[in-house]
Amino acid sequence: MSEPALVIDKLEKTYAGGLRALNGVSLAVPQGDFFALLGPNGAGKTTLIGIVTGLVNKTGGKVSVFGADIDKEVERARTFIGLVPQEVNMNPFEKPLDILVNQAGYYGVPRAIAIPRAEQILKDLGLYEKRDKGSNTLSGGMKRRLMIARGIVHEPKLLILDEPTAGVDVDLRRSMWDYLTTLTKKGVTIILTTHYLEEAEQLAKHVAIINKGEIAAQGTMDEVLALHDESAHEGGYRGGKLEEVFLQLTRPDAPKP
Amino acid sequence: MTTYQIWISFYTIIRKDVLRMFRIWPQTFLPSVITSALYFLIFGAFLGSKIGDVHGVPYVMFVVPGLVMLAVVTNSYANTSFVMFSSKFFGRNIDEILVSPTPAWVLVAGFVAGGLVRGILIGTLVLAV
Repeated sequence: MSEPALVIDKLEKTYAGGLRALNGVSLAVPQGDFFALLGPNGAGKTTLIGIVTGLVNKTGGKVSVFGADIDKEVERARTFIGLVPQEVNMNPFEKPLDILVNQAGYYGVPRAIAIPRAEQILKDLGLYEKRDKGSNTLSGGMKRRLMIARGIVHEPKLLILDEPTAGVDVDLRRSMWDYLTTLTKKGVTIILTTHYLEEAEQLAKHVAIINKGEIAAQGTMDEVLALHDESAHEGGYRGGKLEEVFLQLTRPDAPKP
Repeated sequence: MTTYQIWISFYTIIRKDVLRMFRIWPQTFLPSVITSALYFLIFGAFLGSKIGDVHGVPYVMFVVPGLVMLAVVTNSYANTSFVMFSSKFFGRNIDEILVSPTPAWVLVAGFVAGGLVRGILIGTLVLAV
């Protein structure tokens, strides 16, 4: 069996103010998987992603990416990862092509290789016509696509998407999912956080639900969906099956895992 | 990262910064040139004409090196601090580099080199004035 793309073992994070964002989180993401990391706002998803990508310092536990420990082999671990953050964080005056070529440069990809690669990605994501315009002239959806392009330009083996479709219209969301699905077919492992649970239900092979800094459930999508308890439904609006499981596991009076 | 990859990363940081400087040249180069020209006019021409020569050397010759270095130092510092603070607190695009395998010392060296380039360019311009 191949080595997991990501292994997290008893991960802990307590912020300076005393907030305990992660409390012994452990999970493993298989290679080539489309993995959904779900949880309510403030559950610890972004903190977890921040630790894996090196933006947040952990206070305990271990993380390894394709076998590279993020403490001992920082550079090697980061080479494997591509990040699409929750917030649009790019220089608004830079051109999309420059943003991609520079990003590849930070990973040591020479411009001669990065330019044609960046152009191809911009074509694939429908941004080629805007390659020489300031990124502040792009629409919200275009900025989101550019963030995905920036996350994949160095050809990572593990792509982490932190709510990439927040505020994106349905048509665009579908095209983004189609594109990301083609990446998984090429062997890229994808970790996705989203609040669109029906999309996670369709796309992900494995899922973990995190609540208050702890894993409430994890496994294959079928295993997690099997936790659905019809009697837990409190009446009113009924969502998809994953949504019902999610609510069941994350409501304030939910039993601790 | 290999030495070659580190060099590419360093080159990317400095190239991006230098292109930014030239893209907004009215903000990066022009103010220093105007300020220095005014200083030369006030301290060199007006004040210098009252003071005259000092031990046979015109007063303005004492002022020139100081004003050039003033422009070099303030611009180098301003460039480095602006690039770091704007990318950390405004666009938050410093994360682009922080998530990459680029070592911290390369990031610092890139920012410092950007400041160095701007300082040298400004110093040359002020000297030409």
